[in-house]
Parts: sequence; C-alpha cells; structure tokens
Amino acid sequence: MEIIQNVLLGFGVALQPINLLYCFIGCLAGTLIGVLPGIGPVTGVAILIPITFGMDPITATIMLAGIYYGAMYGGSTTSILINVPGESASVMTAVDGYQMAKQGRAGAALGMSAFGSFIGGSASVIGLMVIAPPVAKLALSFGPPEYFVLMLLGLATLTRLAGKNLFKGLGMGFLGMLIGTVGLDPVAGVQRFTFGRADLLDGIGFVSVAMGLFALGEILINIEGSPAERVFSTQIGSLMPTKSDWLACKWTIVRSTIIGFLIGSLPGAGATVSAFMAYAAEKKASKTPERFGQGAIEGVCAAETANNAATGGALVPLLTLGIPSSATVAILMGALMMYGLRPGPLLLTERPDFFWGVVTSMYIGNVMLLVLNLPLIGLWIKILKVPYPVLIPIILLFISLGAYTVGGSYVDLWIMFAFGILGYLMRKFDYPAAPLLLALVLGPIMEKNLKLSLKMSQGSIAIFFQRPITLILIALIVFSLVWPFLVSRFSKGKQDLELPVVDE
Amino acid sequence: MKKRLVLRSVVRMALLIGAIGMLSHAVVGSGYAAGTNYPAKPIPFVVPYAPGGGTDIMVRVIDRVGAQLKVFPRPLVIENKSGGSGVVGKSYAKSKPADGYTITCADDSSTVVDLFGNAPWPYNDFTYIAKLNRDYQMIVVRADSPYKTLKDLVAAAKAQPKTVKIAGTGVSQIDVLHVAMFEKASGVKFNYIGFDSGGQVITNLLGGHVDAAIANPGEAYEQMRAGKVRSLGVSSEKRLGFDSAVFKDVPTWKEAGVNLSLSQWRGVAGPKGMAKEQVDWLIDALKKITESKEWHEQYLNKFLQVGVFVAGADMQKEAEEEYAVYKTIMEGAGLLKKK
Amino acid sequence: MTERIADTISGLFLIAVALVAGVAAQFLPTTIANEFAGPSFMPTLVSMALGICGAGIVFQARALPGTRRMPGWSETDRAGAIRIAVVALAIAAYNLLLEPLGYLIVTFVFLVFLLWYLKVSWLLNLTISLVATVGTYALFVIWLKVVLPMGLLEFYF
Repeated sequence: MEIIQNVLLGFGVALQPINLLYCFIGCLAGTLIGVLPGIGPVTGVAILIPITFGMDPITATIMLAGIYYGAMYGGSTTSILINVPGESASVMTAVDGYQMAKQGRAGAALGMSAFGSFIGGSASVIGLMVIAPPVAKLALSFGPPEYFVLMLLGLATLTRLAGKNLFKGLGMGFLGMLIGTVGLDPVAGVQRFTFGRADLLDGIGFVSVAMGLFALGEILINIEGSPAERVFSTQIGSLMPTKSDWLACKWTIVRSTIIGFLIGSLPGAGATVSAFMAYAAEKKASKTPERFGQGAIEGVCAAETANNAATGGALVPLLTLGIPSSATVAILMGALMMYGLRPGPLLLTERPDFFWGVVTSMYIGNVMLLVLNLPLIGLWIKILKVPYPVLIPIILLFISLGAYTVGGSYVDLWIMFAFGILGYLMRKFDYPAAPLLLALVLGPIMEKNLKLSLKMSQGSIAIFFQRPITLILIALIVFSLVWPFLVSRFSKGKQDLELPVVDE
Repeated sequence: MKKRLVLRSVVRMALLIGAIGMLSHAVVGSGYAAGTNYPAKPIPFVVPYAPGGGTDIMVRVIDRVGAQLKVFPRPLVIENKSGGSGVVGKSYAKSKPADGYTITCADDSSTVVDLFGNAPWPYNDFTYIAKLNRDYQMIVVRADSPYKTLKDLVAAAKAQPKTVKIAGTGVSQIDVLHVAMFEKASGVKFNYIGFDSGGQVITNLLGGHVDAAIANPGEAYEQMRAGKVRSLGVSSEKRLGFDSAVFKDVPTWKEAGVNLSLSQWRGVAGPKGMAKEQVDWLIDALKKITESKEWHEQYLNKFLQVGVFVAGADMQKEAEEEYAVYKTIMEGAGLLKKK
Repeated sequence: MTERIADTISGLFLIAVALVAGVAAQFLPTTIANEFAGPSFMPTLVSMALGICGAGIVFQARALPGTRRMPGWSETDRAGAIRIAVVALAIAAYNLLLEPLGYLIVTFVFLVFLLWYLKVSWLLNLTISLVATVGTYALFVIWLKVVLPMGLLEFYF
C-alpha cells in the first residue's frame, strides 16, 4: 500500500527530535496565543514567522502549523471561562460554554472541547492523508453560485438559532446583515455607510463586535447587580466530562468532524462558518433543542470539534493545489515561499517528505495538545475562583487589547464599546446575540457571491438552478425550512415549545 | 482620604514621567531633523497590507537583507496595518511626523484608490523614496481551454462582447484598470469578475467558473509548471527571463497582437516633507540592498519580480505620468464614480 | 417594566433603525454600468426585512399579558445604573486617552481606578495594576511585537 509507505515516510520526518521539539513549541505557543483574545491563528502565525527564518523549511512549517491548530484549541478557553471569544471561530463555543461555566460545569466544557478538538483535529489529519485529492476537487467545484446557496443554507439555520421568539431572532439576523454591509460594496467598489473613514472600508471587525456583545455586555449586566456577588457557581464540578456527557456527544463529534472538514476545505468559508453550521446541525438533530444556549454540552462539542476539523480541511487546497483557503493559510503559504518551497500541484510529488512530514506532525501535534491541555484545565478553572471585582478590570483590559490588536485601530475599540452597550440592552430586552454574529459573518460572503453570480450570468437567476451542487443545496434549504413544520404537525405537543407563545 | 492621596500621587507620577518624555522628545527630536546621525534609532516601517502578502514579504526581505549587509544599524520595526487596499496603513503613516522615523510602502495602489475615490488624500502626497520592483500581468486560461492563443481569446470576446468571463483580484483595484486597458487596446469587452484574492482567482479558473484570468507571474507559476494553466501572454516589453521551461514560450502581449505593455510596481515612501538628508540616506541604503546578490536570490527570483531602481523625484514623475494614463483609461471605460 | 412595554420599545427601535438605514441606502453612490444588484440592493432588502421583524415584535407584544414583568428590570436600582455608567465612562476614557497618553500610563490608571471603584484593597489593587500593565506590555509588545501607542513615553522606546 502506497499510503502506508507515505505515512511511514512522514513519521520518519516528524519523529526526528528537532521536529518533535518544534512541533511541541508550536503547539504550546499556539495554545497560549489562542487564549489571548484578539490574537487568533492569523496574527499568531504572522507574528512568529520571523523567528522561523533560517530554520529548515520542514521544521519551520511544522512549528507554524502547530501554532495554527494550537491557537484553534486555545480559543475555546476564554470563550468558556469568561465569555470572551478570542477569535471568530470560537463564538459558538461561548454560547453554551459560558453558561456551563456559570453552572459550575466549566471543567466538563473545557474537557469536552479538548477531546472534541482532538478527535476533530486528528480525524481531519487522516482525511487530509486519505481523501485530499477528491476533497480538493469538490472545493474547486464551488464557484460563486455554490457559495451563495451555501450561505443561504447557513442563514436558513438562523431560524434554528432564533430562540423562543422567531421575530426577535430573525430581526437580530437582519441587523447583523445590515451591519455587514458597512464598507466597500463587494462588486461596485463604492463606499457604503463608512462616513468617509478609511478604517471602515473593510467593514466592521467581527472580533470587536463579538467581544463587545458577549464579553462587555456580560460584564455590564453583572456589574448592574452587586459586583461582589458570585457570578459563577461556587461548586466547581468534575474536571472531566461525565459518562452522560460522552453519550450525548457521541454522534455530535462524528457529524461535526465531517461538517468541519468539508466546509473548512472550501476556500473562503473556513473555521467560523463550519463552527456555526455544526452547531446549527446539532441543534436540529437534538431531541431537546431548547437546551441549546442554556449550557448544552453538545453545543460546545459541536463548535470546537468543527473548528478544529476545519484546520485540517483548510490545508487540503494549500497542500494539493497551492491555493490558500483562509487568511491564516495564506500567511502560511507566504512563509513556505520565503523558505523556498513552492506550494502547488507538484508539491506532493516533488517533496513527499515535506507533505507527509508536515501532515503526520499534525497528528502528533494533536496528541501533544490533548496531553498539554487536559492538565491545564485544572489551572484555568482557578480563574473562576478569582473574585469578580478583580476579574472585571482584567477582562476589560484583555478585550481592549484584543480589539486593538486585531485591527490595530482605535475604531475597533469604539466598535467594541458600542456593541458592548448594545449587548447589554439585548440582554435586558431579551434578544439573542448568536443570530446577529452568524449573519454578520455570512451576510457579506452571501452578498458578494450573489453579485458575482449575477455578473457571471449577466443578470439571470437561472444560474442557481442549472448547477448540480446548487440544486442539492437548494433542496437542503427547502428541507430545513419545511422540516420543523412537518415535525410540529405530527407531534402537536412540541409546537408549543417552538413557536412564540401568543396566547397565555 | 488616604486613598485619594495615593491615587493622586500615582497620576502625578505618571504625568511627570510623560512630561520628561515629551520634553526630551522635543529637544532631541530637533536634533534628528538636522540629520546629524540618522538613523539614531530603529526605523518603523508601516506595511499597509496583511502579513504574508506580496508587499509584506518584500519589506521583510528588505529588513533581512539590510541586516545581512549591515546597511541598517538596527532592524526595522515592521508594523502591519491592513485594510481598505492599503489606505488604512498609509493614512496611519501619513499621520506620523515626517522625521524619518516612519516609512511606508509606495505602490500604484495609491493611484488607484485615489482614482476610485476611496482615498482621503491625493495619491502623490508622499515623500517618494525609491521604486524597487515591477510585477507584470499575464492573461491565463485553463490547460484544456479552447483558447490556444491571445488572438483566439480576443476573437471570441469580439464575436460576443461581454460574455467571456475574466477573473481578476479586487473590484476597485489595479486589475480592473489593467483589464480596461487591455479591452481598449484590443477593442473588446470582457465580463470582469473581481475576487478577493489571487488565490480565489486561480481557484475559480481551475474550477471552470471563469474563462480566463489576469494574474501575476508569481500567482500562476506553480499552476503553469504543473500543466494546469496556460499563459496566453505577458504584459512586459520583452519575454520574461524566469524559469525558461515555463516562460520561454509565453509571448508578450505585443507579440501576440495586442499593442500594450503595462506593469505594477512597489517601492518605499514616507510622509510628505521628509528632510533631504534622510531621503538620501534611505535611497542609498535601498540601493545597496537591491543591488545585492542576496536581494536577487531571496526576493526577485523567488517571487518572480523584476528589479528596478527609480529614486526620489524621478519616481514621483513616473507616478504622475502613470496617474494621467490611468485617469484617461478610467474616463474612457466609465469607471469614474458618478455621484 | 412589563414584557409588553419592553417588546414594544425594542420593536419600535428596530423599525427606526430599518427606516434610517433604508432611506440612507437610497442615497448610496452608484458606479460602473451593467450592475445587476447595485450597492443599495442589499441594504434596502435587509432594512425592509428588519422593519418587518420589528413590526412583528410590536404586534406580538400587544397580545402579551400586561402584567408580566420583564426579568432583570428594577425601577429602584439606581446604584446599578450608576455602576454601569461609571464603568462605561471609564472604558470610553480609556479609548480616548490611549493614543495621546500611551498604553502604559492609561492602562495603569484605568486598572487602579476600576479596582478602587470595585472596592479591592489598595495593596492588591496596586499589585494587580502594576503586574497586569507591565505583564501585558511584555507579552504583547516585547514578545508578540504588537505595536501599541506609547504616547507621552514614546521617547523612551
């Protein structure tokens, strides 16, 4: 078997002591960087590239890849503990993870996200080894019309994230899309709602919005009550997921891995979209969807498994075709070229030691991350024992730093401030935040691809109905919109839970 | 009361330290301007694009080669401020004093954002230091495309205007202008589809979602080498001298029947009003770097760029001539913004 | 505040946002001929949808029983409102002063102030403020090479 030979070749490279060492350094640095809000995988890799100059290209790439997926691991920590999603991909982790922390189940949430990340991450590495070429082919078949319909499918899941009141959920979704239109029009290139400010040309920064809505909004709510009051349950339960947690997440992990890997491999969709989609899929699959948003461990597991599975997926187009599928991977590609490697279709045949060495090192790295992160859980949990009055200023400092670092601009500080107040009001008036963020991510991608599709077809919407993949996706959308009504028809009892209660 | 006192003394201390800092800044700052011993501290280089992009790589190689040749006494402080096609970072650099301790990138993107009405400053409101490289454009198609030559493509676009889909990078960026120039020179109309990045352009070309693409040699090289993509022509005056197995048979646009040559360029500039001594020092340093073997090995050859060296006033003159050309093109193509 | 009033207010707010955005969208500049969905297409569509949602919320609110109170609202909690205002103002001041005064000074003062306001003991207060300021500076500026504004202290760096 050729693949076994290749894997052996890869392990031969990855298990060299120097490569093991740098793999470990990368994973460790990545975990720490992921914990810092605002410094996600993109900035982390960019910052550390200069250190790698002069190193062997394989060793350097192993380290940078370690930072990349290590940061994805670390991102869940602050989301769960203090409701600070440090990067866009861990927003959905915060939704249920923070609720679990408040209920004293932070250990279980962190543990499950470590295991979910490990399984998703390693499975995606295996996917990268075994089925990279067909997946790359699938990724190529996604042009603007396919992306448009895929984003529509993502937005259809809004109805699932909406919560009790459908109008409130959808309203937040549309508000998110409206905010997403700030910046340059994606096809005409004219400015929209920028007030002439150059730093708004690229739109409103997602991380600042997410940290404002989640972290700052939460702080303002907590401070309104007595600040000395305990926010977190004093009882910090077990540090590990229980048996029933595992049973609940069994299929979640499988589904989220597949969703994460496939969506992660699509250039332009990436880890964030895959985490959202996996979460929405779990909520749909769940027998008790009303628990989502209240501390459902499946929600944490879905988001974390998917965003880590997406890291393996994201390397598929890079290593097989030489096409970067996300901002982080683009930086990785720039680094490879500076090392004198040429990522492209020929990389696999010309430098098998590089390809298989890096891929197998990712497998080893995932094991290292698990071993590294499980003991850290006990440490992280101690954060919750810090008195809240001490925690508040430090959280505020970290999110401000994060918002400033991610855009390098004061505008991001003010955006976070404004959305912190909006987040506070949304909690007071009982509006969900997740739909706004989902729409803020998906809206601009959807608009761009809609316009590009129409440009390709010279204005005819028939383009969406003439392509096999779009037809399949449209069928999925129809199914996902109609299904809840079919279900509620057959089980009358459930309907009362789902639809907004009007009569009482 | 005691608490108040402590707080007050803390604030006072902070103000005092700050005041000393400001004072010494003012005193010694004037010393710098006289150009006695420039550079007396590390020079911050504002890269107005994301890390890992073409410009970022160029600056990092400048820094590295500068250190290897001992041209810079201390490494550059590279600061990435991306956004708005470079406008954010350049605006930030322009907001700093022109004391030689802030430099940034100059490129044709400044001209383009100005023309598209997205820049808060005129394109030439910089101290031009040096232009370092040129990058050409190629029209590329998939290997199995029916268009064998540039003439085929032009003929197809002539037969049915606006049906041949050509992908490029960006919507109010240089690729739009270059396609418009190509259209004017060849008398055709394409259907331009602007994607976010060069990577997406190649993806959509390979996936068959567009018929052709405009791309830099560096963007298409690997795909050409693998036989997935063919180049129908390059926008340079002469054929490119890179990897001859790939580029030897790529005709120039002129050879292929379209009378046009064009290029992109990158260089270094600073805020308006830098002192001549400092500009001269930087020109000299950049000249040493770009004439070195290391520069050719680590930058030009690796990233398929063509080295040039145009400094100071000459560079400004070239930029102004280019602006005039681009403006005429945009007027002709109806791209100038209608209010 | 009752749920009915709360939902009516927030629904009306969404309608107002939708109106403003929808009208503003009509004044967006246009360019390049042959566009199939111009710059105003998406904002207009989304504003309309947002307006409909706002109207839906207001309409539904009418059916809510007038006695059900909104959880987490209290008319008498002046102290809570003051705390929020103070923290919000502190953040705004931080944002405003960060550039002119520089990261180290502003961060230190910000931390000292908030910890003092939240009644943390002075010893702990100054220790945390100092360690956090210097620590984040070391982490972000020295190790991660992030460029933070140095303001008044710029000369020293």
